[in-house]
Amino acid sequence: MKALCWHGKHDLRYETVPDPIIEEPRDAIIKMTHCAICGSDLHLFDGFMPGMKSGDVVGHEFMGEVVEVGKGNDKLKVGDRVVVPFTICCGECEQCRRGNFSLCERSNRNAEAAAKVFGHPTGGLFGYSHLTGGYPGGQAEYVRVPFADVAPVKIPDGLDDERVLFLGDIFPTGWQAAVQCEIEPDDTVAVWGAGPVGQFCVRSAVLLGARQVVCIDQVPERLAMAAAGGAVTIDFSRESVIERLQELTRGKGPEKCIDAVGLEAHATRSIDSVYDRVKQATMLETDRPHVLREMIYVCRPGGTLSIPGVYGGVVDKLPFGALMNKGLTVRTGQTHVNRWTDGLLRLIEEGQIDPSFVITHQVDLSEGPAMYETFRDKLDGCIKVVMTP
Amino acid sequence: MKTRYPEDGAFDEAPPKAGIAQPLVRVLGWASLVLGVAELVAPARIERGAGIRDRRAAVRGFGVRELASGAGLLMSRKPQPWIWARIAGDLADLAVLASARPGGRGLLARNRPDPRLSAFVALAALTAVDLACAEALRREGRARRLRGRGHDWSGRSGFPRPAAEMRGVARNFDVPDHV
Repeated sequence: MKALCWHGKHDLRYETVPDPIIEEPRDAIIKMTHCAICGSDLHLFDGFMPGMKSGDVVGHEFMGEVVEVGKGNDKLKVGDRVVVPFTICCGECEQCRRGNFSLCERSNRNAEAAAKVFGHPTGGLFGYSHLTGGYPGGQAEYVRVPFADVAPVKIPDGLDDERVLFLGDIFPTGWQAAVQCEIEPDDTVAVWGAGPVGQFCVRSAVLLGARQVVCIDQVPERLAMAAAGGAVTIDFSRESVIERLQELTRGKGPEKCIDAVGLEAHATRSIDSVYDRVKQATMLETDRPHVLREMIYVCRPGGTLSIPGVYGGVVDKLPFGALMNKGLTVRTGQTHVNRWTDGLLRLIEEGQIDPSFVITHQVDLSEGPAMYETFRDKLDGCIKVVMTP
Repeated sequence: MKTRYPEDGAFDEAPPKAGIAQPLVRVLGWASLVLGVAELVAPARIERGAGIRDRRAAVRGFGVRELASGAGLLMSRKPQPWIWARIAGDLADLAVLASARPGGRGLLARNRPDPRLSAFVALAALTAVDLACAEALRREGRARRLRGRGHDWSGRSGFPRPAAEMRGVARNFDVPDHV
């Protein structure tokens, strides 16, 4: 079969790899019908994620048709249409029983390696390094789904792939980020980053009833899309984020702040950004935490920081004194996708939201390597790339 | 690459053809590396070739600078700063060449043109290539950025009604019992 394979920093190839096979009784094989490039895939592409090996199949946002089912899988049958969450979970361990699906204690095949890096292992993920299990990803014609009797979401007839594809990652990720904020009707929610996850954060905060939602970015097309979803926008290349947020909140700061940017913050005009670039280049720091610093500084005392943006290693010069003295709450983590899928699918079926609004490019899988660059460089108005085999 | 968009061909235009900037960056990057190694390893020969003397330490320093520029040009996603670093280096080279004492030319070479002049012309030509590369990068970068500016996603709310009317619609969202 054909798949997108990682061969090093900025080296992604469309090539032939062996077809997946059923390895465990609970497995299923999915024939991919739609997949997408996630912002966090760019961290692999840009070489920021440890634990990748040459030839790894990437991609963790995908859906398709079940073409083979293991003997121990009673949930799925051949022909089912499913969206596959990016988190692999067994459904039986203590974390899964608590609904912490991304922290599944059994799905990470390289638990020891992950424990060395993070202290404890976290759950398995599709196409996201050997620290998360080394599972081949979904930017491929066929995908083996382990524990396929737990996470895959069956899609009823009548819903296009484009409307439900994002149930596997970015919609629940934006949703969880907003839920973690415990939004009150008087709240201002500030969202850093108007990429795909940021767009869903904005809409989730609106649906959950925030009085005011603010979105911060510098790309005009992305800010326009965020404004369409109900956000007041701040172009950080043209105005001071802190001054504008203070103005929008009568000097009190937003109650809830969401970091939908993560480790590759692109702010270039601040001193701390230059500092991060230098430290990253000299391998003294892995991630660039400009957004975290800004959120801690501007968030209202007693407020909440929600961090769906991906961080991979260590950060420097984090103002922990401000965080502690302002009594801020920090909530983060990979998304526990299956906590939210039933409810979000219902919202889509009811027509309350059509997640396909975020798709700006649809291409063949073979064009994936070029589209990674287009997406990374934010060229051509690119916000979300969907690929078909 | 054929790109398709959800809107009916509204933006379905061919991507711009690859320009000369990136190939030029690679050529200049390798040239920097080669020159840098030569200046570090054989500064005396470089001095002789340029018709100057007593500038060996400066030549070695230029070698380090060339290696840095070359590595930057070949490895960076954004080569503009490295090209401008090269141009600044070219100007420094020209200044050193103009201010250096002429090297000995020997009896047989007296009728040949001054090697300093040849070196000056070669350096000036290289500076022109660097400037052309910087301009090509600027022009192509702007064209790529502008290409995206034509897209208007301001109608993409994802909601069935205006966003203001959607506020709080999911306030009573069900969370599964086990959470």
